[in-house]
Amino acid sequence: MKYQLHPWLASNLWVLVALAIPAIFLIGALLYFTGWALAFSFTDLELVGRKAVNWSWVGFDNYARLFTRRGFLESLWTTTIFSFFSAIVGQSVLGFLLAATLRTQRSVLRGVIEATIMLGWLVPDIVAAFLWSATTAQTGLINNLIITPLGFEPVNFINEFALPVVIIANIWKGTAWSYLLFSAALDSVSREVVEAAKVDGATAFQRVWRVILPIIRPHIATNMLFITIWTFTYFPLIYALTGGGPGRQTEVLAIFLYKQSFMVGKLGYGSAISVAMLVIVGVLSLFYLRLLKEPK
Amino acid sequence: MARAVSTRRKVAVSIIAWAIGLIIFFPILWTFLTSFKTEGTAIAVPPKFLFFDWTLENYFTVQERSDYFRHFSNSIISAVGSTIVGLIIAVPAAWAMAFSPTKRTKDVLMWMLSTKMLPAVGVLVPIYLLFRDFRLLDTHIGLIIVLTMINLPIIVWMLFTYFKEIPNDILEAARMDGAGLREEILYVLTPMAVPGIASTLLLNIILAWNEAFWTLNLTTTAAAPLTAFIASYSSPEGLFWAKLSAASTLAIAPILIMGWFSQKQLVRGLTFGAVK
Repeated sequence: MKYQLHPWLASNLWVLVALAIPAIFLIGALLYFTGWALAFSFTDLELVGRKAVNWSWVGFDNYARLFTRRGFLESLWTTTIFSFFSAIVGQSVLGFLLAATLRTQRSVLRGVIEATIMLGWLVPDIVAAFLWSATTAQTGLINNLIITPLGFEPVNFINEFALPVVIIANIWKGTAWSYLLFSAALDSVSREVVEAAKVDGATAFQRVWRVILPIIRPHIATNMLFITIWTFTYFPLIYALTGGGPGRQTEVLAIFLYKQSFMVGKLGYGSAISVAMLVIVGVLSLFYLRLLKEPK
Repeated sequence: MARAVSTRRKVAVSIIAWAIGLIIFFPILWTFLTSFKTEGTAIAVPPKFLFFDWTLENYFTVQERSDYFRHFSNSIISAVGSTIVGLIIAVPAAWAMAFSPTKRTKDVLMWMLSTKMLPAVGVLVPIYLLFRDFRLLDTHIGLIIVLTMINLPIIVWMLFTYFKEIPNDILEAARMDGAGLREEILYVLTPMAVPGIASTLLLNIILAWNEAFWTLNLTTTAAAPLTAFIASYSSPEGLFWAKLSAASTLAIAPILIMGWFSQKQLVRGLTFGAVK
């Protein structure tokens, strides 16, 4: 529904524009800084030392380095695996399954599960990282509770299965968003349509695959869009849990960028990495947005 | 027969659902319990659940060693500060957009929300350099500026969805009764906007409270909030489970209590208003 503007405001529209300006300005500042990063990516600027002051333009050198030096492509691969398994396979599928199952459950159970899923989201990344290292370390919960009492040698999960542990931790942390979105989506599917499919002899699988999923397709695309982007650029939980290690096993792009910029000190190279990440995220978004619009 | 099968299936589903809930919840519960153990009991095999000598020692140690209350007040200052500044900037903007008759409003909103997709790490370098030059590193003001900036899109968006829901008829009726613009804003719009503003406020406090990336990179001691407090305890060897558990419990307690009271609003906030 459209608002009827107050007559005075309708004749003084600039007031409305003026009110929005501070917010637009501040959000624009974020974009402006992204522009800075773009400019840095063509320089050899460093965090400290001579090149922190006397930097010079180096053209596309930093971008060439992305492909010629070791590091970027490996991190891109790690990030892809991390995003695919924790966002798409983990959060989305688990979120959908939970949403679909819990709909038929009594409200008490549903409430309890919803509350626990929300807990993961509520807990700060740093604390989540601690919870998971306490669970998976050599003297951690899984070892003390299951492995050692059964007579096996304790396994240092966080060292030996670093990437899977990080993926599971992120699923634990992030399923709430997918679950809530899919719950709302499933609520929007009318019962009649599903019943009609049933009457026409569609099996349970067909009803989900042919009827329900196409109807909630826009929701699926929205969900994918957001969680893929967030996971792709995610930093705190992984950094606090493993610091990118052991070795470089969990060094996703965000951590690689962070290390190159602030530990190695190559701000120019770091900026090129962040621009590359932006481009990848942009392409992914376009892909999902097409999925969102295109009717089947 | 069919009914018997479906009952059995229902029981199975609820058992699985309860189990999943318990598994999700277990690490948090375990941390809470561990915080009352001595370091020795914390790594006992097999683990002790309830029957150990409960002690508050860890909490005292943690307070003594790294001053929980100072970090706590830093967290409060930055979270509440950035929320208030954010609301002061966002309320007029969201209000203007909810009332604006142009078609471009939706585009502006989408543009704002799209900045939430930028990788934070990517803008860290420019902001860090700027903060260094303006001596804003490790200050409350610097932290408040950054937290406001990164959360503003969500605040504007949330408020917009709430303001949009205020029914037009009420405004019409007020105007019929001769209310001017001032009365309309003060006595009609404001009271109706309060619930929306309140839940946006709450959501933003939680977001700012949990924010770790910027707080860890832009603060060291003076303005360091609870996230930094936890991070300072992380040792890769995990020798201090009990103390870390106490520190974690202290850090998440305020947020869990807040979340408990406002689950409904959180659901809406978490999904950017997509789920009512």
